[in-house]
Amino acid sequence: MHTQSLYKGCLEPIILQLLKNNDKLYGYQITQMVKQTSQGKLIITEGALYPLLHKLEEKGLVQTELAYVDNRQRKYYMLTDTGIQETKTTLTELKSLIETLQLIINPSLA
Amino acid sequence: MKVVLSKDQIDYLFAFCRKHYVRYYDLQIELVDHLANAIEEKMTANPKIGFDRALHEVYTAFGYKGFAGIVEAKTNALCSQYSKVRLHYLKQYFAIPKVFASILFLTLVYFLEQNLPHPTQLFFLYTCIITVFLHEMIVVYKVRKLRKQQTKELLLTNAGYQQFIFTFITLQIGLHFLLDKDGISVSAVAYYVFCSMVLIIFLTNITYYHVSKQVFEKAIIEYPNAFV
Repeated sequence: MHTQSLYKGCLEPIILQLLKNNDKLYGYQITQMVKQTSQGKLIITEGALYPLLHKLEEKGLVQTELAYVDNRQRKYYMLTDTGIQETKTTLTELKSLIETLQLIINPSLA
Repeated sequence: MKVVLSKDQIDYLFAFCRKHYVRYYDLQIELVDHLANAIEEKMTANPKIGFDRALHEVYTAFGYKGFAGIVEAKTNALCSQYSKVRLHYLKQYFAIPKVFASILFLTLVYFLEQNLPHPTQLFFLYTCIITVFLHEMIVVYKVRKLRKQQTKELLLTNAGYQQFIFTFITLQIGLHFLLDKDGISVSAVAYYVFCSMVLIIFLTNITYYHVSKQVFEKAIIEYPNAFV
C-alpha cells in the first residue's frame, strides 16, 4: 500500500525517461509501459497521468502531434529539446536521491 | 485477433464524454482514444465481455471524479501557459526594439503635461480612456470573429478567452479618485500614474489579440475537424 505513495513523487522522471527512450508515446501506451516495466508494481492511474502530461506540456518539456489510427484521432507525446535536457537533470537528481536514501537505510555504506 | 472499435462505437464514446461533462473537443479526442484502447484490450482478452460492460469497467477506473479532475488540470495548465505567453509578449514592449514605441508615448505624455493647462489635461485623459475603450471593443470583436469559425468547442481556444472587461468604467472610476478637490485638476504624479495605466491596458489588449490569433492558427492546424 505504501509503495504507490512512494512512487508518486517519481512519476514525472518516470514518464520523462519513457519518452526519452521512445520516439513518441500516447497516454494509454504510457500507462501500459509503466505497468509492464515495473512488473505490475507501479500503476499510473488516468487521473494522475493526464494532468502530469498536460503539466509537462505547459512547461514546454513535451510537445504533441495528432495522428489518425483505428477509426479515431490519437494524441502522441514526445520530448522537446528542453525536455531532453530536463530529463537528464531530473534523472541525475533521482539517482542522487536514491544514493542518499541508501545511506540512511544502510548507514554502513557511509 | 485484436479487437478494433468501429466508427459508430467511437462516436458513442464521444457522446459518452459529452454526457460526462467533457464539452471540449480536444479533450474528448484524448479521452476517447484512451477509453477505446482500454476497451479494445478488454474485448480482445475476453470476447464475451461486450462493449457496454467493457466501457463501464474502463470508466470506473477513472475513479469517483470521473473525467472532472483531468478537465480541471488541463484547464489550469492552459491558463497558466497563456498567462506566461502573454506576459512574455507584454515584456517585449519594454525591451528593444518595441520599447521605443512605449517611450514615444510616455514622451508625448510628458510633453503634454508640461505644456497643457489643467482642464485640457483632463480632456486628454478622457480621450485616452475613450481610445483604450474603442480599441478594446475592436479586439473583442476580432477575437469573437475568430471564435465564430469554430464548429466545436476547444479548450485550447477557450482557456485564454476573456469576456469584455469594463476598462471604460474602471479607468473612469480610477480617474475620479485621482482628481484634485476642484474636480478638474490632476496632480503631476496622478497624471503620470494614470497615463502609465492606460499604456499597460492598451498593450495588454494588443498582447491578448496577438496570442489569441496565434492560438487559433495553431488550433486550425491541430484540430481541423473543429472548424468544419
